Amino acid sequence: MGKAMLEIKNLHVSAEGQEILRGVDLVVNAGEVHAIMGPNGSGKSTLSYVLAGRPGYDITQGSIFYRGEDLTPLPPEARAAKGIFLGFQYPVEIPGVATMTFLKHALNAQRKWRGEEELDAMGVMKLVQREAGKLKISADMLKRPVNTGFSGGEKKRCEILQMAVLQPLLAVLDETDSGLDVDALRLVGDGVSALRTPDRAMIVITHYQRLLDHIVPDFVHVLSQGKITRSGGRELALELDREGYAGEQPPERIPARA
Amino acid sequence: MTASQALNSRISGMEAITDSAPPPVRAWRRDARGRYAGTGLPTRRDEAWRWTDLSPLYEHLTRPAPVAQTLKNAPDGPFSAIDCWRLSFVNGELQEASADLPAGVRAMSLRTALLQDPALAAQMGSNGASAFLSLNSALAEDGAFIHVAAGTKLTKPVHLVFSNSSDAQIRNLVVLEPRADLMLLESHFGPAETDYFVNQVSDVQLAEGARLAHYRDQAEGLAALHFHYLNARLEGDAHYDGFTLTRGAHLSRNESHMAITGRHAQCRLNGVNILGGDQVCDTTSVMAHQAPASTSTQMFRNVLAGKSQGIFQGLIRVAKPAQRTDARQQIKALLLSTQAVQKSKPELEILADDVKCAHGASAGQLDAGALFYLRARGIGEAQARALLIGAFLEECVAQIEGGSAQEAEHIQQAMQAVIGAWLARQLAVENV
Ligand SMILES: Nc1ncnc2c1ncn2[C@@H]1O[C@H](COP(=O)(O)OP(=O)(O)O)[C@@H](O)[C@H]1O
Ligand SMILES: [Mg+2]
Repeated sequence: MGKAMLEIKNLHVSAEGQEILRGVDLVVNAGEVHAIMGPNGSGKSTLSYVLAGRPGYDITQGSIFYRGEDLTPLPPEARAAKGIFLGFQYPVEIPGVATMTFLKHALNAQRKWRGEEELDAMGVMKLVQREAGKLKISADMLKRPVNTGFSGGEKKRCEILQMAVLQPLLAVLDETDSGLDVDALRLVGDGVSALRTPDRAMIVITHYQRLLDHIVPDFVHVLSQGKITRSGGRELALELDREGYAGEQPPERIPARA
Repeated sequence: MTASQALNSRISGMEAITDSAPPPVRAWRRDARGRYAGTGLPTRRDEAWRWTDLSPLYEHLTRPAPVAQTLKNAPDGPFSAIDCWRLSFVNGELQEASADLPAGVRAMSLRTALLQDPALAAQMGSNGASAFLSLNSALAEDGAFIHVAAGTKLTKPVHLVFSNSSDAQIRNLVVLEPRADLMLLESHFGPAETDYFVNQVSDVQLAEGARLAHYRDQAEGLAALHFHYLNARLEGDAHYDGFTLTRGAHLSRNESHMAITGRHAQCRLNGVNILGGDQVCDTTSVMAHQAPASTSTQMFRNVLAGKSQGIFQGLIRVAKPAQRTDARQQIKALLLSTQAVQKSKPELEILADDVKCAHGASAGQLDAGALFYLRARGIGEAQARALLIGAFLEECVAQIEGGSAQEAEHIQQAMQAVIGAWLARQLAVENV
């Protein structure tokens, strides 16, 4: 095989003794965008957390390799420094830590980890303000505590801001589109597209096809009951949007849709 | 010798010394001795001491008092870099005082002040059933006397520096005449391994429209026993802004009795307690609203590592005439280990019918979701914890008002720096 950016093999994951992922296989190469769709509770967020290294999930079988390295023993901060970014479905409020301060700590922690020179307050501020401008995030919002009192849309734009500032190699975006109006969706779509380069890859978890109008995926997968049940190209997303997760619907509803 | 025999012999030793004091002071001491004889030291059977185990003090008193040591240099604290008028005490005895005080301000040895003006004894609290107050009144030899004349605003803070290494009964009297304005800073420190016992009482009198910003850094040695009793009275429109950082002593108690006797007074009694190892810090307060339309707020934040214990007992008492009182009290504790303990007991005693009172107490661990969020952005675990703990405390530190916005920022940053250094040490030691 070629040099995959991410290679997930037969991944089984449990939390609190309950199996959530039941054998996920997925290969993502540099330059590719993969969309993962699927009904609620199918394990999409769990997959994203496991990639980012959230404590509390046990990998009972299988493997995850990222740029040729076993990811599973690494703590979340090491994964971030190596280029993995998780856009949270539910960004966490952190009262008392200003967004700008948080970004400065995050950026410099990653730079330090990689042996790069840390940026001074001015350097961070310039970088953050430039990216914030593109996402229509005000200077006032950057002074406010992380996600605290932000609207749903503000939180999601702030996730994209963090991604733009941190410049990851592999971005996993978990329902970044939910709760966004049309304008915010465009801003987010543009922000994501700006990071679409041949050396980066993305996994976009979404419920709706509409984000995929902005971020056109190379591959679309359906995650259902902890397994990838279907994979295809862009047209699969359109089909799912038209027909729902037909295979995953309760049987009695299938005739009505046929 | 038992603890109470030891104290009694210290008290009778003191009787001989005070025989030479002016008559009002002698009478005042005699009364205090009488009250102490009536109560003796408290035990856990006393309601006010139910949660605080005084056995370290009892054990301490069975041994001879530690020999006083000379400390080479005052350790750095939050007030080190602040331009102040300083009074330095060693085991409660005044050693050195800034001489260049402006007109309208006296800052001097309380013993000297009482010799010059024995009637001052009448301004020193002698009421109340506290054994520690009575003991202090019976035994205290010195401390600070601060007097600010009506309408005088100091351009710099007054800083009381208490270096302790042996047992000390310290007494301060702070009198602000109408519309006087003062920032008073206090630092308490001592050698790390000596189990000295400090019992300090401060009487604070704020006349009409007086304003006192009162910030303390308690950094006693980690084997020390530190008892602090604040006895304050606020007249109409008086404003008290208090903040205590407790980081030292094996066992400490900050007991505050705030009597609001005038209308439209504002009283803020805040504190941050950062404890590790087997430290115990007891915060006890009585906020007594006796006049209408006054405001009080109390905000305490505890960060408890190791096997440390935070104790909070706060009584808000609103008397019948104190209509339109607004009294708030909030205590939050962050437990960094499973062995750390917080006990909180807020109490309300409200006799007026038109009042706003709010109180809340909570204790919990660091939010795992927030910790993961920070780590997922590349911030290492120890730094992520420090950030979250700092943010938890920031809410309280940010309340420090100072005399101006600039002064407030200065003191807040200095407090945060001390807290940050403590956290870095604590997180390294405990590897939590
Ligand atoms: N930490 C956890 N502990 C126990 N169960 C969990 C945990 N996280 C997720 N689950 C369960 O796993 C299933 C998949 O959840 P999730 O990954 O959030 O799905 P999705 O993102 O696809 O909606 C759900 O049934 C959920 O309740
Ligand atoms: Mg989800």
